[in-house]
Amino acid sequence: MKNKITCLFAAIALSAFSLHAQPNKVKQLVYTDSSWLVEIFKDLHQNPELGFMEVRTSGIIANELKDLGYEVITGIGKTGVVGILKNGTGPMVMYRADMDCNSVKEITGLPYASTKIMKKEDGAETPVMHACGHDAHVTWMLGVAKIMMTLKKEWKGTLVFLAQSAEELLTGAQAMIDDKMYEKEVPVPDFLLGLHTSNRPLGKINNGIGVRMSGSDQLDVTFMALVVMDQDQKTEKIQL
Amino acid sequence: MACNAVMQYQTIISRNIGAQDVAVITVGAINGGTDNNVIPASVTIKVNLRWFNETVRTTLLVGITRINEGIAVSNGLSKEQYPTIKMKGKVYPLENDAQLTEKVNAALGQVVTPANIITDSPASMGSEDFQHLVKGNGKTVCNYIMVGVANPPAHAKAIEQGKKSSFFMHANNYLVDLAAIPLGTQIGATALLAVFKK
Repeated sequence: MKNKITCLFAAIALSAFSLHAQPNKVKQLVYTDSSWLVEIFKDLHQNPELGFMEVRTSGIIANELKDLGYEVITGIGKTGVVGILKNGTGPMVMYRADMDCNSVKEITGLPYASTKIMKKEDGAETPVMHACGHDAHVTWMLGVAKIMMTLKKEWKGTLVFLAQSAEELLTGAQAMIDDKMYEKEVPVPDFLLGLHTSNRPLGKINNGIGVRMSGSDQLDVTFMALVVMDQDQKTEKIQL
Repeated sequence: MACNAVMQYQTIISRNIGAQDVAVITVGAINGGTDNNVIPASVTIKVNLRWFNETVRTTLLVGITRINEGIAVSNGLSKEQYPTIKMKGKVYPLENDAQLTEKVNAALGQVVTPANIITDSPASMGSEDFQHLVKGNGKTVCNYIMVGVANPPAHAKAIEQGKKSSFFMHANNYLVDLAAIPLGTQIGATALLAVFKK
């Protein structure tokens, strides 16, 4: 009965967002797993972690991928996780999801909103939340990993799921490379695929060809205090 | 000095970057001090740059250095006291491969209808280190897909109010609609299966 209600709910949810696609196997599998995935998402949303500190998140990913039957490598570039499935001769494809959150205080008022405070590397305390959708990225990846395992007779090749640390710091991917990921057991892929949440409405996808995002640098500029002593007046003037 | 720098940085783009080129200089934080009557030893400005080519990037960095040193000179600082710059992370622009993206979009058209796949929007000023997982290996091609997760009625209401969307990236009201969880999974699995197809 519960399943029937879930299916009915899924059907209503789908029709509500005008998805006119024909039912297919992937869709059926996804909506069977829907409540499991939503639970994972809410849990991740409530427990965000900053870059290179994604210990809990990467632990969840490693466990789920292991349970699904993937060969799992953990601790790449501190907290990165890779799950590999060799499934015959075919292309090598990598699917990546980033794990870290932002230094932002959540105001959504959701029952599963984050109220967490974390210490940054410099020791400063900050409220944290998933304000870039990485909680969804991880959830999607776990859902996709389950489907790819279930449908493994329908594709051939090597599949690598990669949970990346510290995207927000722009250094997580490089940290995984510097940790010699490709010299260990991770195959260099022919194709790299990733999904990112966008603030467009549900059912819209933005996927153009060519350059899609800008290059970026993060830098800290530090000004030292300048002390000007006025000996006669015994006063100090300091400019910052 | 730090406050002067923040104001002057904004002139780098208006004075030095060509009108057809695009760049952004954001100062996300100015950190210094603890109390009303204590002069802090230093102030740190946290800066983020966005650019599409190395020439523009160099112009931004040279501009920041020049402004820092100009302020130092005008305040009579000795060379050892000049402001320091700590480079913390760099990512290159992200590029979607034509063949791979077309293949993926053909499959995703069956999930959201082809009309709901936007392919002609200009490149965004967002940035990613996704492509750095395979940068320069001469083998891998990429596809990075942006998936709408905003609640449709909330989005429609925001548009009605003259806003561009119901939330923005990195904002405190960032809200993934729960219906996006199964839909995004379906999109991911469909795209991945398409990539494996010959």
